Amino acid sequence: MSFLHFGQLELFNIAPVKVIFTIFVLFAWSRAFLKFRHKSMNAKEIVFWTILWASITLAIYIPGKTTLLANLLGMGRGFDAMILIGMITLFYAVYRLYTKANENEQVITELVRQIALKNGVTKKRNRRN
Amino acid sequence: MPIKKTIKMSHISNGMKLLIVIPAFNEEKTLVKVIKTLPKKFFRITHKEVVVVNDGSKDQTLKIAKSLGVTVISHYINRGLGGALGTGFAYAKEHGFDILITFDADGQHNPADIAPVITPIARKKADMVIGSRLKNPAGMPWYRIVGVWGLNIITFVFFWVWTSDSQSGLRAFSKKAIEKIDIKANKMEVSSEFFNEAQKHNLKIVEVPIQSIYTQYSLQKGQKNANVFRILSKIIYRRFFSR
Repeated sequence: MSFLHFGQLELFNIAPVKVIFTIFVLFAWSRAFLKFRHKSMNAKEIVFWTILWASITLAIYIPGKTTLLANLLGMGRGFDAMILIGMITLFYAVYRLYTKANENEQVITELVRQIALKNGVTKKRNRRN
Repeated sequence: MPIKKTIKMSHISNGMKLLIVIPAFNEEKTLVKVIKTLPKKFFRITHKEVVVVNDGSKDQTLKIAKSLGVTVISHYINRGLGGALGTGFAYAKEHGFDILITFDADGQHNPADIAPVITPIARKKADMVIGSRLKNPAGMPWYRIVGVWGLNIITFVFFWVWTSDSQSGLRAFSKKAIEKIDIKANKMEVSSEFFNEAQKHNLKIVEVPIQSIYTQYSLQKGQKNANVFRILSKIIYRRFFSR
């Protein structure tokens, strides 16, 4: 009941998950739009996010897209292909975050070190030598 | 032969500057004893400086260190063992020290072990000397031995350097090592990083047996075996992903 078949257009028979996703996309886009209105985002950025979210929303309503993807990847089911792509994306995101976090840690240490060497040295001649 | 010896001695008598780096994070209970028991003179060392790197301690460490007549470098916030040692190295580079020693502030090292750890460097036989607790592990708790061995194997697998104590806190470095070593690690994984740097810059490593004094205090402060996983993840990152 949840497919929007070609030929027999069932406009009012949309899967709930698609509705939920559409609402989420609208919410995400509205956040971007608010940022744009408050001038913390420029025109280029809002255009980018608008195109991105619009294409994702369109993709939701294209039937058989995951199967097509699975065929391209040489996999059986569309669902498997989605899980695989999702996992790869997540692994990459985690790697990027880990790298960034490590770099930031190093920068903080270097900053603390330079401040300490500049302002935090209490020099005293060693009485023993 | 005698001529050769004279030349060597004359070179040494130009004077070697020794820096003892004591990283300290919340060590108010042991710091006084550690600093007061340090040997006063070392063979072939003409200038000695003790520097306590206070790593953002929350207790009286900074105040106590300042009252002990040693150089104190103070981090505003805690950066971990690697961060503190890195600051010690930066200080040594800045002031042209010939030998750098790292010495734990928790009182687990025997001050009498400093001299044998320096000797190979003073004799130009090594660039990096590791005071190994595992050469004579009497008194070391078994789970500690297991943990250190685990990290020795990890150090070997990733950095191709075999050491009997990859986690020792008592180490000595030559001038070449001081100049070449670039510490990027912030925390305990620094101990393994030294071996990575040694391998990268072709530094000659020598191990010297040392005694470790295990008290309930130093056991609480030291490495936990659960840390192995954190260190492992950092080592993998350092080995394969970081620039």
